[in-house]
Amino acid sequence: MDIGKELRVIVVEEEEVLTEPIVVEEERPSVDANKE
Amino acid sequence: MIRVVSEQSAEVWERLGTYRERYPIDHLLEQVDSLERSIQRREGRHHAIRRRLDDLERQVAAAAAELDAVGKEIAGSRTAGALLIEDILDRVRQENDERWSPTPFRGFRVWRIESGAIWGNQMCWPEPRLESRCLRSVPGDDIPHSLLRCGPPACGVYAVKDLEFFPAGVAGCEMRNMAIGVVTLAGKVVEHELGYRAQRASVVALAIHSGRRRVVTDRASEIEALFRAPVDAITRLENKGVSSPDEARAFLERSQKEDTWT
Repeated sequence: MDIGKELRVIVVEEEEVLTEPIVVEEERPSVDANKE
Repeated sequence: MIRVVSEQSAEVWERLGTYRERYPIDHLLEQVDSLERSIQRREGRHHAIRRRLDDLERQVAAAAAELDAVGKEIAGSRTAGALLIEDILDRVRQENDERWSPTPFRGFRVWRIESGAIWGNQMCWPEPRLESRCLRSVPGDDIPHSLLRCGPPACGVYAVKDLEFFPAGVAGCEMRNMAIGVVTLAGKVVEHELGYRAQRASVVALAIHSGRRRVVTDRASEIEALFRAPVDAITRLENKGVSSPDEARAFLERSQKEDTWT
């Protein structure tokens, strides 16, 4: 198959796809904070 | 007196001195005197060994310091070399117009159906993806080769940019026992005037024609089934998504334009 003259190299780096949601935990007050 | 002598023993030896002054007892101490001479010889050797050991410790400390300094010099040289190499490679990439893409390129390619399997130009495709190899390569080679380092034909999974490349009847999948599809191309992709040679290719859309049956699909599970057992899958999916040659061609062209990095 003649696809013509070579032009250039292209580096294809596929991005990783996140499959799980990012869980952000809520900050809990400390025991001392509750006392106050 | 050396350290290995216990306090109690040392005290006994000191007490002997006192008694030697107090009483004439030399005639009783022949064995003790012999023992003391032997001890003095050993103390001399102990001292010499201690000096040698101190000297060796100084040499070990000096060698450790030298090792650390040379290690730091090597690390510094490697860092400087890496910066220099990055600079050179940037220039090489620019001079050769090398490019980068986060999304795969898409191109068209055809296969033939033969002996119950799907074949490319030279090899069987038992699944809808292929990693290229080169008969002239050694492990670690940058595949596909560029700048005429192999071939003809040069290695890589081939795909073309335009359906016009193919003879009449191919683009619309009108010929029997053939398949035409869209592949995503990833890894190292060598771009040519009319197409590409890629390190990796995956089929994302397919029009297939076997016997009197035709299937047109872009569903991954159906494409997988068609490559693994084309005859069975074509029978099961018979005429699914079938359209006219013009519609099949338009379907493939739409698929080729998806997710193109601009």
